[in-house]
Amino acid sequence: MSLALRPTFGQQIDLTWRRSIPVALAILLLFLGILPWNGRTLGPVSANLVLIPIYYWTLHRPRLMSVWSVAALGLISDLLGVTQLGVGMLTMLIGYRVAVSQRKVFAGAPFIVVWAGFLLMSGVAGIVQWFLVSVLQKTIVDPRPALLFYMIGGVFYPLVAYVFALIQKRSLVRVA
Amino acid sequence: MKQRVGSVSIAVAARHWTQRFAFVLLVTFAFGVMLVGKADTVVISRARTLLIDLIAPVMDAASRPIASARDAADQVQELISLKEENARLAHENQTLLEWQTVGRELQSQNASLRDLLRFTPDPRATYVTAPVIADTSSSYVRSLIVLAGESDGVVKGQAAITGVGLVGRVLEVGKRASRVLLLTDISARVPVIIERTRDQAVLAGNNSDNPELRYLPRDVDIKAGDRIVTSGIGGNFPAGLPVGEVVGVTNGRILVQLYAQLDRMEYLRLVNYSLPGILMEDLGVDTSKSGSTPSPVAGRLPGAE
Repeated sequence: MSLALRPTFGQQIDLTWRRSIPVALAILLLFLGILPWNGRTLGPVSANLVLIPIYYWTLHRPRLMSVWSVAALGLISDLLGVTQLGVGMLTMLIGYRVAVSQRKVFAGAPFIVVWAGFLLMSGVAGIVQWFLVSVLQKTIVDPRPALLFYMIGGVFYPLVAYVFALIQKRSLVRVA
Repeated sequence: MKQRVGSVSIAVAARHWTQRFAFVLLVTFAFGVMLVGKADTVVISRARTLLIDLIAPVMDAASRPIASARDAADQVQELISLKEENARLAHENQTLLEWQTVGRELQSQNASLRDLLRFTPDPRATYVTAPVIADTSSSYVRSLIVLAGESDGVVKGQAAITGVGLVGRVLEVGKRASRVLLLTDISARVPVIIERTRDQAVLAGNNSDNPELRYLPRDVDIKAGDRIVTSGIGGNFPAGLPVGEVVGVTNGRILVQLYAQLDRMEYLRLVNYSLPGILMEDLGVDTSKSGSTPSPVAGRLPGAE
């Protein structure tokens, strides 16, 4: 009887790939953000776009977006040169920590509250990033571009979250 | 039953503490990476170039449909503004014909003056034309990744130019791809000269679209529209490369509009002027070898002789 309940090799592969969907989507967004769109619209916002999957999956599938995955995403972003070395990693970790600490408040709340939660999380991450860059550059860097990109990230959130919700319903219903 | 509940709560607590420990560990690691990155070690540089090389084929393939869509949009836009474009080109042609006459006069004058001075021509410049495959710019960093690397003869420190002017310099070189730091990046510094007044300055990026001029003399006579070109000091870039023009003074800062449109770059030319600059010498790069391996897209700069 117990043998019948043991997942087959195929099922294990299927489960592994389903479990990797949240991190894979975050990497996909990171690379989409650095494609040469030849505009100042999407390219500079890439680092902020990665905060969306970190926040969304921390709220809805916390086991599939671990602190290790978040650190790895930050390191990839840093090595690609999107953020200064170490800054992206630390920013994403702080954002993740904010999302984890507020998970009980935002998970299951109305969408508008969840959206406000993302704005709070990316806002904290943005302030941390601005502070770190200012320290590394030994000058107070202009925060206005970051403010613009923060707002663009906020505008993108509903669209990206909607796509994630569809993927969650389709592929991650029984995956914890 | 009680024992089972107890073991489950211990497991939950253990998991909670492990996660908290991992968070603290990773934050410490991030600070460590930041410090190492500030020192700009070879290991970090290698890790970066390795990742750039790894993603280069994927980014190249992914960026092609975007380039096609952009070309199609440009063509439609050109068709719409055909009449105005024609009038503009006719006017430009007239101006160029006038300049041609001036140029011919100067050419003959220059030839005789060179003869008098026994002028040694500039070192032979070679270039590699590379497509832009990724825009890694963000709020605090301005850089691009191009599909040309060590195997194409690209060397760290080379100038990255478009048809109209300087856009930055090569920061990291992988086997197949390289990262170019744009002039607008907050850490970019280029020695320049104001063409009209011959005053020297440093063009410093500030993460905005308009880098600023620093270290100018106090009594400098500068006007909007003044051309800014490289001064050649430091030996990384030759003197006279067009950079941009002064757009005005804001809050005591002299801002420059670059000639190159940084948001519309499909290809860049990475130029090796064979100058033994500070950057290359510091890195122990043998500049005599750089650019000696011609790539399929490598060629001579027109008029470099």
